[in-house]
Order: sequence, then C-alpha cells, then structure tokens
Amino acid sequence: MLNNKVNAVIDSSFWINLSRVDLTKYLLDYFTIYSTIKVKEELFDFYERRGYFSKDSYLFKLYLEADFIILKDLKEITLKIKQELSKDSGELYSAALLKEIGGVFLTDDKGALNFCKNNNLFAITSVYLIVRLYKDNLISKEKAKFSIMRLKGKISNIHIQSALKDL
Amino acid sequence: MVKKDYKLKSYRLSDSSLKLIYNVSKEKDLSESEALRMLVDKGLYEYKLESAIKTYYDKNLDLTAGAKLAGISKREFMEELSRKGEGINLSKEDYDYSKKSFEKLFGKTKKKTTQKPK
Repeated sequence: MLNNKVNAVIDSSFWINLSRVDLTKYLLDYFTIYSTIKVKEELFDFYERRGYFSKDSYLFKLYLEADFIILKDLKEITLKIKQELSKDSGELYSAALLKEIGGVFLTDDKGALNFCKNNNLFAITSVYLIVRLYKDNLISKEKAKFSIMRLKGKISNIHIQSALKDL
Repeated sequence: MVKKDYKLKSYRLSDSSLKLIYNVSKEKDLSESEALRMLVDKGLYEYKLESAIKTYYDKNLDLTAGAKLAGISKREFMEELSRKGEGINLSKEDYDYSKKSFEKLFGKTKKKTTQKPK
C-alpha cells in the first residue's frame, strides 16, 4: 500500500466495470476514493427498480459502510462544467467534485475523459487500471488478461486491444 | 375498455402483419388491439434505442446523454451498448491518456518486488 494515496473521484461506469471483474479492492492500494450522491443514485437505481442489489451496487454499499468510499456534497458546480457535461449526470457532479478536491477521475465515460483532457485533469479507465495492477505485481498476467477479456464488448475493442498489447 | 389517453388512427397493414398480430394476441392471451400496441411500443423502443446508440457513437456523447436520448437509465444504456453496439466508446487515445495520468501520479511502476502476484 502506498504511503501517500491520491484522491480519486469515481463514477458509476468505472465502478460497474471494475466490479464486474472483481478488482475493486485494489483501488484502496492507490487511492482515497470519493464519490457523489448522484453516482450513488445511479448505482442504486438497480435496487430501486428490481428490489435487489446488483453486484456492483452491493459492493458500493459495503464500501460506503466501511468508509472506504467517502460521499461528498458539492459546494458549487461552475457554469463551465455545466456546459461540458450532461445536466444532472453522475459525470457532472463527479467532475465538479474533482475540481474541488483535486486528484484523479476514475471513469469509463467518454464525456468525462474529454472533460479531463480539456481541463488538464488526470483520468484513468478501468482497463488501464487492470494493466497497471499487473505491472505493479498485484495480479498475475493471466488474471489481468482474463479481466480485460471480460470487458470485451462492454468497452470498445480498440481500447481493449491497446491494453492487451501493453500487457 | 378503451383508455382515455389512446387516440384512434387508422393504418393499412399487410396480410402477413395482420396474421402476426392475430397470432401474438392468441399466444399472449391479449386482444388484437393490445397485441398491436405491445408490438408498436416494442418497435418504437428499439427504434429510439438504435437511434440513441448511433448518435452516442457519432457525436461522442457521454453515457448520460445517450441514456437520456434512449429514455432509459445509464446502467441500462451501458448494457444496451454492449448488446447492440461495440460497448462504451473509448479510444486508443483515451487509453494513452489514462496511462499518462497514472504514470504522472505514481511513476512508471509502483514497486519492484519478487513477491508472487495473486
């Protein structure tokens, strides 16, 4: 575990994909994880509709209860952020939180990534995180490859292939 | 009994479509009107979804914008993207940006160890 963890704001797309491959626990090795009420709502929407938790929403609930994810209320959302991302979205609230606390955006959303590129903010996708877990010797190459393959179809092939080549 | 918010419109349909509506009504134990409404709703949902997915890819939208166009939740939109499309539209550049971000924050690799990974 690192001595100086980096603040990370997580959005629902990243959390859903990383939960799918059972690798969420490794986030704690690198990051202090923050999220927003809106992202929680997006994840818990599954429970609201179906009456039971999906794997990712259940994990999110556990992480919240264990204080491994810190939910933050936002002070303000600037007009500039509102112009770049969808109104009332998890991405919008997460981007505003990132601006407030600094750190890195953990996201699998194109709009959020573009926002980070345009504003010189750090952003990391779930697929790259998996590659990094292997490179940092936290998971085996086979596990990394298998996890990336499991995201095939969920994330565009060109992104997946870039990761597989990088292993 | 006819619901108040339904409007009456007449359309011409082929014999094969009429036969299909009849068969669906029997199979689902519905009236022919109910079966037709169900099929139209299903078709409209699919049309709206396909159009939202196309716009999502063409205009590089965020997931929420795509989901709003399709009239479904973000999670459902992610599922539909993988069912009908190529998944979330992340590029090689997005991968490279992630890599660069990580390396700026943590260096090229976090630690060197001989410990066997899990």
